[in-house]
Amino acid sequence: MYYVKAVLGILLGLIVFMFLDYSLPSKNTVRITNTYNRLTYISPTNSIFYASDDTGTVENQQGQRDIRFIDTVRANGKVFVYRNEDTGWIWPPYFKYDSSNLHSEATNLKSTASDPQWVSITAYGWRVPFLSIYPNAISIDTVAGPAERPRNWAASIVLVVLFALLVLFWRMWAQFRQRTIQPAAARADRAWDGVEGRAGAARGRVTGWMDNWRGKPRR
Amino acid sequence: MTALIRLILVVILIEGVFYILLSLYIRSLRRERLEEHWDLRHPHRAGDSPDRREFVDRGVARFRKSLQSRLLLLVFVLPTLAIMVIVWLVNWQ
Repeated sequence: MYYVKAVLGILLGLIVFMFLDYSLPSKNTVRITNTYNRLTYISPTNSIFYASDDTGTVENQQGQRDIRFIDTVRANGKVFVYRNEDTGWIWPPYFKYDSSNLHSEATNLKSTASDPQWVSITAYGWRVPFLSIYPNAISIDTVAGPAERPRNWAASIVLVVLFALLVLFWRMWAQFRQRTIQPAAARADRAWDGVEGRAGAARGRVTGWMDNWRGKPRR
Repeated sequence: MTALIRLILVVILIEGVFYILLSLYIRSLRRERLEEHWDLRHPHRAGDSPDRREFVDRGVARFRKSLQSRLLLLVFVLPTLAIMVIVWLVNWQ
């Protein structure tokens, strides 16, 4: 039982971490080399990593969408490709509907290796070539050089708020347990003892069962 | 447009659930504090009694009308404001 619990706990932690890693914004300092749109086939396996098809883009009969892309180069010389899609009014909650504006901004900031213009692109998502998925660019800010890495305030704030919510839920559950579940169990115990006509010897059947359920030894 | 209406409905629903849970929670905290108050003031009559119950009920009724309890309506304001700020930051900055 202990190992089952441990494995399930680790799996849950991993899922939460990957979920947050995917949907929270991240910033990268890059140089934009090209912007274009391309008919992209979206298969059932990777469609959850694209915008839902009722937000701005239309899917044609062959399952293709005309998606905007931004080609970039990082400070270490490796390339990185972003997609630029509206998220619309649903998940993830970025409420982005200015991808045309973002695209012209990116085109405006295109630069060559000899005369580089470094920018910090805020995006969410993963680049997985095997699945043909790309992070979605949210905003572009110019920076002074490749070494500059602006602080990711948005992700920090979201994490703090999520942690506060977790603490709040824990406190609420503790209060509910102490003020509602435990008195109800105590009442049930008293009623049980009354039925058995042994009010003096409080057996604590219900509370005992609940403690047992919490892993405490039965009294 | 339907997507926006759906978002508004979902947000109001989530905020409503939060409002109900939080109002139950803060009232329960207040009730507990009033009970402790009574026990401190009447050490010889500590514990559950009809008098204490009446005292607590009156205190909770007063708390419901207080500003502190009405501030809970911010549950409907703050998340909506946060969404508006995100929309502004993402699309107009």
